[in-house]
Amino acid sequence: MKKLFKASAAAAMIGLLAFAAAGCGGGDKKAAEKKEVVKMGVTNFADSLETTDNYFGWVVMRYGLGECLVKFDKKMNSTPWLADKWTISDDKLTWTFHINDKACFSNGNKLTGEIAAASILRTFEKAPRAQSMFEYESIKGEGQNVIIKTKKPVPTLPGMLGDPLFIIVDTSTIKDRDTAKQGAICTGPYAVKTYSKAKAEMVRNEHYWDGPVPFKAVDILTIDDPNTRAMALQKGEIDFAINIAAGDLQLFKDKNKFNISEISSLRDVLARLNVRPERPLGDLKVRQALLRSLDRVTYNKVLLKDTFVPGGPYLPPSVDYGYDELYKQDPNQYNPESAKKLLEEAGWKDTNGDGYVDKDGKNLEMDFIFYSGRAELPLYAEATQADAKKVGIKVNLKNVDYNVLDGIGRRGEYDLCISNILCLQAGDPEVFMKQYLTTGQEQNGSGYSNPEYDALSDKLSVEFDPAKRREIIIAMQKVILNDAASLVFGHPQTNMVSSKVVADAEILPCDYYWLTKDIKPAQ
Amino acid sequence: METLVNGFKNNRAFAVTSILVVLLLLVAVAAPVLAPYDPTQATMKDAFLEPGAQHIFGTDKLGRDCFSRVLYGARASLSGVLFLVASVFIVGTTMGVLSGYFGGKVDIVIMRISDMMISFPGMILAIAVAGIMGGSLVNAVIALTIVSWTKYARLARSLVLQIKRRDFVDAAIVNGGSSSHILWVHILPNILPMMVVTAAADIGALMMELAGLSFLGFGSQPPAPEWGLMLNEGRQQLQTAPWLMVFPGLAIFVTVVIFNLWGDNLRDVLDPRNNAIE
Amino acid sequence: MTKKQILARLGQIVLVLLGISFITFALVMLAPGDVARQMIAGNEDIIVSQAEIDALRAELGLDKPFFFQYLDWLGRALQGNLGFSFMAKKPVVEELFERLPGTILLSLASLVMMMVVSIPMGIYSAVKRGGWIDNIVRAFTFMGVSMPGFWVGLMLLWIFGLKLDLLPIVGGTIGVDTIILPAATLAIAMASKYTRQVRTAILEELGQDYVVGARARGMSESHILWKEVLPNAMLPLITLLGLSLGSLLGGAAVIEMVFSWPGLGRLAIEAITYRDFQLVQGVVVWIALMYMVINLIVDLSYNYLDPRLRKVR
Repeated sequence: MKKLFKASAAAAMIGLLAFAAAGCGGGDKKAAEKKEVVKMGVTNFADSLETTDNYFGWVVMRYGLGECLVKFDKKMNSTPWLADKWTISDDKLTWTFHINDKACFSNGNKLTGEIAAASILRTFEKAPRAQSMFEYESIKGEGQNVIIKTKKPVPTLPGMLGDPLFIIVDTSTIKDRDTAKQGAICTGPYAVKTYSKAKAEMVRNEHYWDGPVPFKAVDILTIDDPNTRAMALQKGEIDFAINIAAGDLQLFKDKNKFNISEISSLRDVLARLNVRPERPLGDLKVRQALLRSLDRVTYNKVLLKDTFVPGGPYLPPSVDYGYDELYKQDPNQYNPESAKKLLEEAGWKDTNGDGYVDKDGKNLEMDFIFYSGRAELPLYAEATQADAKKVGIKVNLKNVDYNVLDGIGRRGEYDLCISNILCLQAGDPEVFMKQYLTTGQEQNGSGYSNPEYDALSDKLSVEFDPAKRREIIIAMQKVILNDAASLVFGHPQTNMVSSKVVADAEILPCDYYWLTKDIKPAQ
Repeated sequence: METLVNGFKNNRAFAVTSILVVLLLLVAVAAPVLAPYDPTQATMKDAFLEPGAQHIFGTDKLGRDCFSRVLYGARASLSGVLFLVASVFIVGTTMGVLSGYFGGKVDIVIMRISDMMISFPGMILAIAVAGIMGGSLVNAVIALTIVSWTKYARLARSLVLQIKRRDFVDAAIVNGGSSSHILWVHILPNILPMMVVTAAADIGALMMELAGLSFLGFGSQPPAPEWGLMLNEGRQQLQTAPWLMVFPGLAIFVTVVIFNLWGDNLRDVLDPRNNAIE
Repeated sequence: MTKKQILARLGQIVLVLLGISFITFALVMLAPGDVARQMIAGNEDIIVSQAEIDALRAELGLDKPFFFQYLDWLGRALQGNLGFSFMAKKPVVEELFERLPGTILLSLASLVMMMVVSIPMGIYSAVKRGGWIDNIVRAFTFMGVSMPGFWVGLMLLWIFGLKLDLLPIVGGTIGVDTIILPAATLAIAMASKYTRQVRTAILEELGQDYVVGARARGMSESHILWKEVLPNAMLPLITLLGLSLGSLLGGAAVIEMVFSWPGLGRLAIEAITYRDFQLVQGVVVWIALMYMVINLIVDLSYNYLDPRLRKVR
């Protein structure tokens, strides 16, 4: 009963807002007749719409509810969104963001510099993670401008403001709202009618500032099981879906019925390698042998049916950090013969005929930690086990609960530890480049420490010039390749598959953007 | 033993199903001879081949031969379930005998624990146990033992209580026989046939529960060719490679049918009184 | 049962609940991983710093010693407050009540399906014992109990949901169309079991002296079957039915997972994977309670229905 009341209250409010239309925006009155309401199938982890809690902002943005000052394009460059331009002072400490004059919230309130500044300050107040991104001297709004003074120069600040943590919310109405259940008032093309982790009902934001909003309503269903998601799309129970599993994509090849939008994502599937001296992979030759024993091209082309790009370099091909060049230079591509030779050179031989090489009476064994939350991880793990066996390395698979993975990684309780990880944060790979391999990082439980790498990493922290940053990052990747310090299996393609009732359902590499104003009914 | 031999001669159904059970066990033992391929040998270029001349059950996600895996699966699944039945049988019978024979506080404690376990949602406890100890066949067996022993304990207890009332037990007690002597010589042999019948009839059901845990990922771990796990892996390809789902499922089905039939017939043979009564 | 016996049973229920809640609590607490990591970023593969996790743990009171947490929980539970679910962001009791209709509906639907099939089939095959229909029925019941439920479920989903396109695939909601497959899956195994039970029960009664006597008195076969045999044969089935209902109301975890049915079993598994310990506690205690109460009711009704038993006890 209570729920019903809340739902109708929410509906009534939205209705009222629609009447109160004044001043700005103006919805699309003649919205397409074709299909007014569509359904989308997604995975979802958030039980709340509070953008400053945990990583829930991702969902707020993915569902077309919230927007930031800055948006990432296909190449992960920072481009205008709510802010139409920005500048930086000569001392590199003061940034000025100009808010688009048209920008307004779904309640019709105009977005001013002051509100934007207040929204950013609210994030700082509520989310500790914001402070770890940058520290500010002051943030204030002046007219349509937001002026941010930082304590230290922050080269990647615009990108950081593109992080869903900094979704701009209407701070003037926030007190009256249950931001967990209703979400804050935001600027996106859709507003929330009801939200639960299982299902969200989104309705058109009649005041949307950036052109017409195509659908009257979008129901977003959480279907965490990839198989069920695919079946639902096939049967038309949903109209578009995020991330159809590798094996199922072939079901949607019929171009008359479905559109597949596929793009190489910003993710690595990589195994951290424990290189401490007491571990088998502490020996460079063993590492090289392991890497060369794995037929990564086949894993991605055959087992994963081309839905992954073969790995090698540390960063994916979707960003411009020299993937093609580095891939060719990778000394540890598939070569089982040389892998066997390397093992022999390192003193490992199969003396007891059990099929595994040994030294001092002990087999060459390593623990491979994986979790089964993502279908490709057990697959890579099992493929590694099978291929490594062919050169005499015994790989023991250890399936762990996803929750404990971070701890295992930090403490270095593995020989190989696989995860599927986002390489860019705030549009920049700096954090990722450092977190596993730079000496002294919390996440670096691998024991890897290379002064050359650390020096490059320090340089990167203070470099503003994009071209120079790129050079440094490529140099760092070379060090990783030569040290065989990490095992990158592949880079997932991310996809959005839509039935023919929907047009322009495009996925971007950055997985913050799913439901956008550009997805519209088919003509 | 004699009854078994007689049953084998006189009860045709028992003879036939016994032969089937032996055949199953033979398949498990002889898997290396029967299987055309190594079940863990991954030929990745041949992943997801449909059933055909080369691979009569098709190949799986790593290009392993599904037929060979199903054959080898008989080993993992059968040894797993026999291990499980044995452990449930031993734990349950022991507890039940102790409880029934000694009575008093022992009885109260054991029966209260058993009350508790019986009202515990079994699968959920098993999942929690597997979560702590990590998924593995052994842990799944332990988890299922914890939730299944009570049935045997109750049965054994009631049987012991019946036997205790008989004269020969009283005579033994009066003659000053030690507890362990009475238990081993007078009580156990008398309750054993009924317990074995129950255990045999349970093999099928326990096999499905074990497969269920593996299916949820809390039992056997890759790359073991175990039927429940194979179903778990095949599930993701239900649409594109349905044979990965069909054959291991059929294998479980056939095995469970055989064991269920055998269990029924064994009961007829060992306990003719129960012919028509459940 | 006397009043004293009933009171003793109730006391026993309380004891069992205490034991169960403690064991569950210990299990969840000992399990590696915790709710904090899940709450922060789900399975999104974002690097979460230990500082972030620790801060949240402290906020949730998860850093206190295990035993205190249990006592805390117990104290509140005694006042009817089962705590707060981190996963669902609402009181555990509320979440339980939200999942209850799903479980009850699924249980009832499958029981009804089961009875519609198994009672007539069981009676028929008992009466025509040895006939070809009896043999077919017995063959089917044998197959039915020998197929793992999750496999049957997936096959049904594949055939009816996908190949024939008759029923929806997306679960998660309660509806006439979404309930059919999970209920059928549960019913298949149960119907097989019950058909055999009904058949044996009737056969047993048919062999009783009173039936022989009735025949000797020249009563019609149908009168014997419907008026004499059936009522007696159905009595022992009530116990079984109660047990089935008890365990069904506890949620059929695996089947609910296969069909993403919003019931208690799935809630339990989700809560365990999420390490949402208050919710796990709540679900487990609830399921156990339901099971025991229904058993008690069955025993009471048994006493009531069968005057012979009342006298004996």
